[in-house]
Amino acid sequence: MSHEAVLAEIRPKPLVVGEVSLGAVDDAVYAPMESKPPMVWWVALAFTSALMLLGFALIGYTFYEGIGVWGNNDPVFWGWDITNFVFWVGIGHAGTLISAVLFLFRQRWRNAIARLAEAMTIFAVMCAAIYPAIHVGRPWFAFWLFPYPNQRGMWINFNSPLAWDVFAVSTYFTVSLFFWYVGLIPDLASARDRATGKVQKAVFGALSLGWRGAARHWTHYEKAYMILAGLATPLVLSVHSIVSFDFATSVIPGWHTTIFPPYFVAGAVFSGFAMVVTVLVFVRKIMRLDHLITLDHMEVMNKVILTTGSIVGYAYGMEFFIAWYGGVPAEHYVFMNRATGPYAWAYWTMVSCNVIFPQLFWFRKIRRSIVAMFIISIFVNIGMWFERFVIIATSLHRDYLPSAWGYFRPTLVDMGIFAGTFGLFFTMILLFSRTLPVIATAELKAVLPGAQPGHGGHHE
Amino acid sequence: MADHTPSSPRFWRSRAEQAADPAFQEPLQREFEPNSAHQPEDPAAGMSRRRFLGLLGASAALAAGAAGCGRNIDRGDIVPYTRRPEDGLPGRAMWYATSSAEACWVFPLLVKTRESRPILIEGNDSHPDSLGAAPMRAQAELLGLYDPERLQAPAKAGATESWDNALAALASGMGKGKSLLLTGAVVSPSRQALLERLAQSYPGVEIHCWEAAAPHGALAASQQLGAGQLLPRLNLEKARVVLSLEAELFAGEGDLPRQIRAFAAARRPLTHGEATPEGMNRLWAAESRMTLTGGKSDHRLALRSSALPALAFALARRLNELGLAWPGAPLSAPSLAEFAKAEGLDGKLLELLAQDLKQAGPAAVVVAGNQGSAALHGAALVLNRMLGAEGNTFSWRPAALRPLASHAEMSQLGKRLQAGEFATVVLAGVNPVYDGPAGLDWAKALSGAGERFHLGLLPDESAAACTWSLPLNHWLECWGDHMGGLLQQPVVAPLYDTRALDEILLNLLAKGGQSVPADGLSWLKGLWQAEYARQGSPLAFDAFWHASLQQGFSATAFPAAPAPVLSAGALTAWSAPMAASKLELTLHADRRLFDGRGANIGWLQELPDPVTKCTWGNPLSIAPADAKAQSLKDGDRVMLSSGAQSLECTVLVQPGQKVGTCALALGHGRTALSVAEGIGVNAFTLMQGGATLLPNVSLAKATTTAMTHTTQEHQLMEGRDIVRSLPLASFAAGETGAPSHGAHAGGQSEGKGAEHGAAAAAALATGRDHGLKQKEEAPLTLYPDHEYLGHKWGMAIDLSACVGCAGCVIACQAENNIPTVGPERVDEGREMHWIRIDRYYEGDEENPDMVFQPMLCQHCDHAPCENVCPVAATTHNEEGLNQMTYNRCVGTRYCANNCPYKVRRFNYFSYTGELAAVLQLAANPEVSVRPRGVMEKCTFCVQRINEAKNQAKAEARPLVDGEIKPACAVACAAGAITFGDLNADSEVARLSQADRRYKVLEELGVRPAVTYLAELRNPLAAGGAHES
Repeated sequence: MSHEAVLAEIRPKPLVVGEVSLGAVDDAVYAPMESKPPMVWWVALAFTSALMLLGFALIGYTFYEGIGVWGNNDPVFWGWDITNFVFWVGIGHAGTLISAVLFLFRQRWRNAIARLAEAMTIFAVMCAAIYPAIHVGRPWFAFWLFPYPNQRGMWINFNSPLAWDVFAVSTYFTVSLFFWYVGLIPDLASARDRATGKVQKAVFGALSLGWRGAARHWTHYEKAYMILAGLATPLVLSVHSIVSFDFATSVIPGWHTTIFPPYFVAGAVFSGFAMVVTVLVFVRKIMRLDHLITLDHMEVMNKVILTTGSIVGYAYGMEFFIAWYGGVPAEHYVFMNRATGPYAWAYWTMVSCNVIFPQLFWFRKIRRSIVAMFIISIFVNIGMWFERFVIIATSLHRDYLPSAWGYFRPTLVDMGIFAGTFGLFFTMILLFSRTLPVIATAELKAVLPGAQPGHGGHHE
Repeated sequence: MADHTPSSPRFWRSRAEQAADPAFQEPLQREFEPNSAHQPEDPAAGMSRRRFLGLLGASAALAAGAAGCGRNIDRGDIVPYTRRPEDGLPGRAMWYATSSAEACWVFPLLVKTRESRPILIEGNDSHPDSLGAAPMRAQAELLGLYDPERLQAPAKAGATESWDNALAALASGMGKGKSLLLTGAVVSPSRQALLERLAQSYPGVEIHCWEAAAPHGALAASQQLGAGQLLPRLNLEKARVVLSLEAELFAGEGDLPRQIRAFAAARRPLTHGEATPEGMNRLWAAESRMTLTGGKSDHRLALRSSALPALAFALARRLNELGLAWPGAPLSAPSLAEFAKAEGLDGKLLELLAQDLKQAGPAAVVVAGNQGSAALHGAALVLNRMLGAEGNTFSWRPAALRPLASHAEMSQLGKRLQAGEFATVVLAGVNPVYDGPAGLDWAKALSGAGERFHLGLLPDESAAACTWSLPLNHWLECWGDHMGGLLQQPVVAPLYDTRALDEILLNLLAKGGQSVPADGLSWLKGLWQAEYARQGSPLAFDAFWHASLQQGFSATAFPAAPAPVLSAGALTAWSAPMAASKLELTLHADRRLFDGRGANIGWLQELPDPVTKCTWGNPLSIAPADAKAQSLKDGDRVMLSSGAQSLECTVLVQPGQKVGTCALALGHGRTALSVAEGIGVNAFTLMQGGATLLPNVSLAKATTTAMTHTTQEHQLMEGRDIVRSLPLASFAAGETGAPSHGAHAGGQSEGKGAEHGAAAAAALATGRDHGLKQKEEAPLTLYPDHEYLGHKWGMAIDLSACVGCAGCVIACQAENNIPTVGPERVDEGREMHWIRIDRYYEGDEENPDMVFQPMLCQHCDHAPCENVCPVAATTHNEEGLNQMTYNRCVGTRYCANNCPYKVRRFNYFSYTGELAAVLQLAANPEVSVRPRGVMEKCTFCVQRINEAKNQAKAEARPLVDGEIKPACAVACAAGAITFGDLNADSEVARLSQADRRYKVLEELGVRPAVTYLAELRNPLAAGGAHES
C-alpha cells in the first residue's frame, strides 16, 4: 500500500459525499415535506396502518375477553407481551446512543443520522409502552402502577422492579422526546421559513418557538442540547439495566444472574443499531439522501453491531459458564435446557442470528454491502427478539419444581398484536419522513466540507 | 406578625385562655378527645351536655317518626320482629349431620349450610369411620345438588306432567302384568323395608339391583361358597403386612376415608421421631397397572393381572410349606420359585413376601381389587384364611341388603325386556343404557316394555329411552338411613318439583292399599321407633331420635356376616390357571368418577387423576416398552379391539404398567349430560359378561392425536431435593433422604442389609442425632425478618401419611370457590387448583417408585411474590400469612413468575361470571369470588382462621390448638396435614421440629411456613422399594 493510500485510509473521511452547498442540503432534506408523497409511500402507509389497526383491534379484543386469548399460561405467566416490551425498549436504545452519547463524544458522523435514530427511539418506546399497559389482567386499573395521591391511601410497592420499570421507561420517553424536540427547533424554523402554505407556516411557526437563528438563540440552544445530551446519556445505560432487573432480581433460575444489566444494555444497543440500519437502508435510497447518509455512516454502524454482537455473544457464553461454575442444579438445568430442551430451536435461532452472522462484519466488503448489511440487520432484529423470548419463556417454563413445568405457545392474537406494533412503528416512521426533516440540517451543515475551516480536506 | 406560642393563642376566647390557665384548658382538651361521648360519665356530675343533646335529638326524631307512622297504620298494637329466623342466623353457618351411600359403601357426613343452602360437605368428625374426612365424590356432590341440568318436574315424552298423573301412571303401570324395577344397591334399611312391602302390593313386580362397577368378583366368590354376597371390611389399623392384589385401597370406590385413616395410622410410627412399639406397617402390591396402592407400597410386583390368582396360590403353597394349614383340601399350585421364573419375577423377593406374611400371621391381610375376578377374590380368601386374618385385620359384611344382579343376570333381564316380557320397566337411579352389560343394545331392550319410567336426577342416557321422567330429590334433599346406623337428613328443601324415591315408593304402597305414611320422615321414624322398642331401651325414643339425628348416626355396629365356608369345587375353579396372552386389558373403576356417577360434576372431571395426573377423560394406559415397540406416545389415538368390540382411545404411556398389559378406566364416554358428554370413551362397551380382564386385545395406531389433558407434563424430580423418601432403616441410620449433589437418591442405603422395621424404629428410639439439625442455621437475607408477636400460622405435611388420594383438592375447591376451566384450558396450563398433588416417578420406568407431595402456597416469610408486586396486592400479615388482596391486584402476574413453587393461579378469563345462577348457590359466601385478571392462591383458609379467632374472642378464651383446620386438613383422611400456630405449644410446632422435617427449596431462603416430613418406606430388602 502506498503512502498516500495509507493516509487516505486513516484520514477522517468527508461526512458528506461530493460538494454540497448549504442550500442543497436544505433542498434535499426538505423536499419530501414540500412535495406530494409518491405512490409507494401511500402503499406503504396503507399497509402499515392496516397492520396497526389490526393490532389495536386485537388489543380491544384482549380487553374484552381477558388476556386468556394470549398464549400465556401457568408457569409461563409472561410470554410475548414482555418479550415484545423488552424488544421494543431495546430498539429505542440506538437512537439515544447516537444522538446523546456520540454527541458528547464529538462523533460528528452522527449528525446525519441522529434525527432519524432519535425518532425511532421515540416510536419504539411508544410501541414498548403499549405492552405494560395491556399485559395486565385488569388494564383499566393499570394506572395503579403510578404513585399518585389517592383516596385509598395506597402507595405503590417501591421494592418491585416493575415499579422501577414504570419510572425508567417514562423518564426515558420524556427525556428522549424533549431532546428530540429541542434538536428540531432550528430545523422547524427553517421549515417555517420555507413553508408556502398558511397552515404549515402557522404550525411550524408555533413549533419553532420564535427561532430566528440569532447568536443568543444558538448559545442557549447549544447549552440546552448539551444538557439534555448529558441527561439522556445515563438513561442509555439505566433503562435497560432496570428492565433487566425485572429478571435479575427474581429467584427464577435463568433470570437470577448478575450479568443481566450490562448484557441487556449491550443487547439493546445491538438491536437498536440493527433496526437503524434496516430503516436507513430504505430511507436514504427512497428519499435520495445517500449523499448525506453515506456508506461510511452505514459502515460505522455495522462496526457498532459487530462490537455489541460480540459482547452479547460473550454474555451468552458467560451465562453457561456461571451456570456450571455456580453449581446450582436448577440453574444448571435451565441453561442445558435452553440449548437442548423443547426451546432449543429458539435458542439456536438466537445464537445464529446474534453471534454468528454479525461476525461477517469483520469483512470490509460485507460491512459496506447494502444487501449484506440489510440481511444481517434483519437477522439481528430476529435474533434479539428471540433473545428476549428465550430468556423469558425458557426460564419460566421449567423452573424449580418439575411438576409445574409447562410449555408456551403463542396464539394468533399474540402475533397480531406484535404485528400491530410494527404497524405503529413504521406508520410513525412514514408520517415522520413526510412531515419533519429527517436529517438535522443545522447539524449537518456544520460538517459540510468547508463549514469548519481548518478541518476537513480543504488544506491539502 | 405577632409571634405566639401554643400556650398563648393568637385568638382567644377569654382571658383565662390567653393566659393559658390549666383550669380552662383541661375541659377544652377533653371535649375534643375522640369518643369523648363514650367516656365513663361521672354519675355525680349528672348527664353530660353531649349526651343530653344526643338524647334530645333522638327523642325528637323518634317522636316525629312515630307521628309519621301513626298516619299509615290502623289502630291497634304493632308487633316488632323479635324472633330470629327459624333456621339459624343470617351470616352464621349451620352444620347438619347426614350420610350418603355409593354402591355398597356408606359415608357419614356433615353438611355446612349458609342461609339454608348447603355450601360444603365434609366427613362426620364424630364418626370413627370418617373423623372429618369424606370421599371426594361425596364432597363433590355439592355440585350434583346444584347441577343446572337436573330434571325439575315430571314429564311424559318431554311434556311436563303433574305428579298426580305421574304417580298414577306409575302405579297402574306396575299393577298390570309383569313389571321390572331396577334400582341401585340397597344399603338403606328403610328403603329395603319399602321394597319388601312393594312386592306385597304389586305381585307382578320384579325388583333387581344393578351396580355396573360393584365388586362383582368378590360377590361372586362368596356366592360360590353359598354365603350370599359378602365383602371384606378392612381393619387396616391392625394390619402389619398388607398385600394388595391390584386393589385401590386409597382411591376410587370403597370405604375410603376409613381405609386411608387406618392405613396411615399404622403407617406412621414416627410422629415426632418417637417410635411406636408396633413399628411401621408394610405394604406389598402386586398389579399390572399402576395404582395408588402400588405407588404407596414398600414393594411393588409388576405382573399380568391374569397371573395374580396364580401368584396368590403359589404364595398359599409356600405358606403351607412354612407351616400354615391348607384351608380345606390341599391344592396343587406351582411353587413360588416356579411361578417367579415363569413370570420373570424376582424369586427372592417373593420368598421375602411369603416370609413376611407368615411372620405377620393374623396381623396380615390380603386385599383383592374391587374389579378383580372371582378367582382373585377367592385366592385372597384362601390366603387370609391361612393367615387367620378374618376377624382381625378384616371382617365380613353383607354387600347390601338385597342381592346385586350379576352381569349374567342383568343380561338375562335385558333379553327378557327385549322379548317384551315386562309391560313396565322402572329405572330408579340406574342407567343401564350407559353401563348395562355389553353385547346388548339397552335402549332397544328397554323399548320392549310399553311403559318406561325413569326415576333419577339427570337427563342421562337411560332417561332418553324412557317414556316417563319422574325427577328424584338429591340425597341432600331426602330422609333416609344407611347400614351401620347412619341417618340421612335433608339439609335443604327440594330445589325443584321433585320427590324422594322413598316417598314415591310410599305413594305406590298407599295406592296398592297399604296403610303407610305419606312422607319419608314418618316412615323412617316409624321403623326406627319399632326397632328401638324391640331393643327395649329405657330412654324415651324422641330423645334418642333427636340425639341420633344431631350426631348423624346411632351407635349401631356395622352389620357383620359369618365367614364363608370354603368348598373344594370353588377352590378348584379359582385355582385354574389363566392363559397368558400377548396383550391383556384391565378395566377398572375410575379413581375420580367410579362408574361414571360423578361425570357431570366439573370438579371431579377436572381433578387430576391421582396416578396419571390426567383430567377430563380416560386415556388408555400402556406400558413404556409396549409404547416403544409400537412407536406410540402420549396423545396418540389407537383403535383398541377386543373381540368384535373396539374403541378409539387416547394413549397414555404409564410407567409401572406391566409389559403386555393395558388399562382403561370405566365411567367415561357419556353420550348425555353437557359436562360429561364426549369426554373419554365408554369402557363398559368392552365389558363382555362382566369381565374386567380381557385377554387378546389389540391396538392399531390411528392417524389422529389428542390431548391427555394432563396437569403434570414432567414426571421426574431431576435429582432435586423436592420429595424426600427413604427407607425406615436408612432413616434410623441418620439419613435424611436429600439427594447428595443431585445424584441417586437414597443410594447410600444400599448394602445395609435387611433390617426389620421394628428394629430400625427401636434404633431411632435411642435418640440418634440426625443430620437435619445442622441444616437449621438461618440463611442470610437482605430483608429484615418479620416479627411475629402473636400467632404465626404454619403447616406440616407428613409425606409418610399422604397417600396422594387428592381428597384435599376437592375440599379446597369447594371451600374456596375455585372454578373449573375445562379440558382446553387445562391443556393450556390454566387449571386453578390452589393445592395440587405432585406425583413423581423414580427409578426404573417399568416399575418405578412413586412419591406424592401436596403442594400449596408455602406462605414464605420472605416471600418472593410479595416484593415484586408493583401495587402491593400481595403482602405479608403479622401472623405470617401471605395475603392476596384481589381488589388491589392489577394482574401483572410477576408474583406468579417469581414463585418458586408455582402455586399461584391467574384468572385468564372470567370463570365465575359465566356460572349458571343455580351453581352460584354452591359458593362459599366467606370467600371472595375472583374476577378475571386477578391472581389467586391458597390462603391457609383465612376465613376459617378468622372465624375461629372471632369465636374465641367472643368466648373470651385463647385459641385451642387444632381448633382451626383448613379445608384440606379436614378432608385428609390420612391426617397428613397439620395446621396451627408455630408460636404456640402446638402439634404443628412439634412436627416442624421432627427429625424428618425439611422445607422444599429451603436453599432459596424464602423460609416457607410449610414443613414437610420426609416419607419413610418400610421395604424388607434395602436399596429401593420396587422390583419387578
